[in-house]
Amino acid sequence: MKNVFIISLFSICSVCAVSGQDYKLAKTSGKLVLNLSSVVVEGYDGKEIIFSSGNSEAEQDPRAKGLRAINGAGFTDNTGLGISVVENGTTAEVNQVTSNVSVKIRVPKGVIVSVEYHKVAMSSNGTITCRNMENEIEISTDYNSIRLENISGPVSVRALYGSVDAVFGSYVKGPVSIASIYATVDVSIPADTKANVKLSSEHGSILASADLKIEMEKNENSDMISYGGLVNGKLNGGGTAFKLMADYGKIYLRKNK
Amino acid sequence: MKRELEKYIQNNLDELDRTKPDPAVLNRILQQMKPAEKPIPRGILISFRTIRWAAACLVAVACGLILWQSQKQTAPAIVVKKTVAPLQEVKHPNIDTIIYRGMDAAEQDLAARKSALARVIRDKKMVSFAGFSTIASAADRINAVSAAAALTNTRNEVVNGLVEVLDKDPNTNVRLAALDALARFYRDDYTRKKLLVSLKKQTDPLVQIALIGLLTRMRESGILTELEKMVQDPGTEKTVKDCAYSSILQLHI
Repeated sequence: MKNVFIISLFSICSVCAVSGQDYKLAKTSGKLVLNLSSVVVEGYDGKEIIFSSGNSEAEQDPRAKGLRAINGAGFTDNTGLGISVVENGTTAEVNQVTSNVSVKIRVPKGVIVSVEYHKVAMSSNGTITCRNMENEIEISTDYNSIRLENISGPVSVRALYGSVDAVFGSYVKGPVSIASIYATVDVSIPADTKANVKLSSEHGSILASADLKIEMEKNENSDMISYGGLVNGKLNGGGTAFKLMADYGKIYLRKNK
Repeated sequence: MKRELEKYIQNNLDELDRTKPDPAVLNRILQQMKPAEKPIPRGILISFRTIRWAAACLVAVACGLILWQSQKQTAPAIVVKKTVAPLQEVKHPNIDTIIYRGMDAAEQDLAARKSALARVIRDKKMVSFAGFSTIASAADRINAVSAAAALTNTRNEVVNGLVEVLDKDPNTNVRLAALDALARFYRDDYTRKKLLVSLKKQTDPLVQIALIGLLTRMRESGILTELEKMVQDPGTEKTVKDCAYSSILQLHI
């Protein structure tokens, strides 16, 4: 019983120690390109990009001590987190080296965050999460779900099968362009957002909050074929470019709670 | 032989012609045989003072000619300078020079300034598209595309620039923004042709669907062949095929 307690205590301490392992990269501008199947990105007021991981399986393997992960794509784990971080000019590129990597990254405000992943998600989660960010966000994925929480924009999201949920903070800085084919696009914005809104869903529905006063434009003068799945309008008199597209999914446009 | 000749002369010396001609005839012959005396040319006497004055006049005339020639060459040099001068110099011409050179020069200067301004505007347009691919931010590129759509489509520059973005930009959302901007020129035949060509180059399902949707709404039946190819192609995304089928039906109605 005493041995079991000691081993458990040792394991917990190891996990805590590993969880506290960070990899830092001094960078306050430029671009951070993430080729990861699952990641949580958070904005903060700092001067370093801080990578941390809660995944400790590799570190817990005593046989792995003194070794580093490599993969067939030519990437080497140079962080101890199962990822490769390489700087190339103003861009820092992050690639996944081991499967089931779950990385949390804290990013200074001036860095553009770009997530690009077009394979089937290697981890069971497969969600791209960005929260508390005033950074510009670019995301292009095929299968991942995308969650954007308390962001300001600019945002450009391209998703094929994954859903997109976005909650903007106190203001929206455009342009905002979120496009998906099969999944839903669910976006919440402040009621006083000034935007030129374009919503299109050829085979889905477009649902908007009554609290958002959208002056819809009618294309009566146009000789193009028009269909109900395309809405052009001005929100609070118009302003920043705000485009949502989901060909086979629904579009939800809500007011922030 | 020689001796015979000498002997003959001696023997017949008396018979040989030893008579003298008539003195008058002889005199006349002698007169004619004298070399003709050439008349001595009469010299022009010019005083040294006159020569000095003439030399002075020649020098003055030569100086005048050189001065006139040099002035004649400098006048067009200014015009050339104005026309090929750096833009800043064209923007701020010397007013005194223009007044001095008269109305023609002023008109030339004005024409040069107009052409320089047109060149600046044209260059700026080209630069805006030339430097486009170097912009790291997708948001900035979307804003640039939206701004370009508001420009007048002179010589199809705007359409060409937008189509280039549609074909080459690495970000799907920027390409979709370019497509939205091109929709503004949907009545233009050139734009329709360019969109048809672009459809063959697109590989991203989102852009393919948006482009097929736009061309269908434009009632562009020219896409039917391409749509049939896409439907037959096993590599085409299922949703793109569905969209292609739908467009074929709409365009056949």
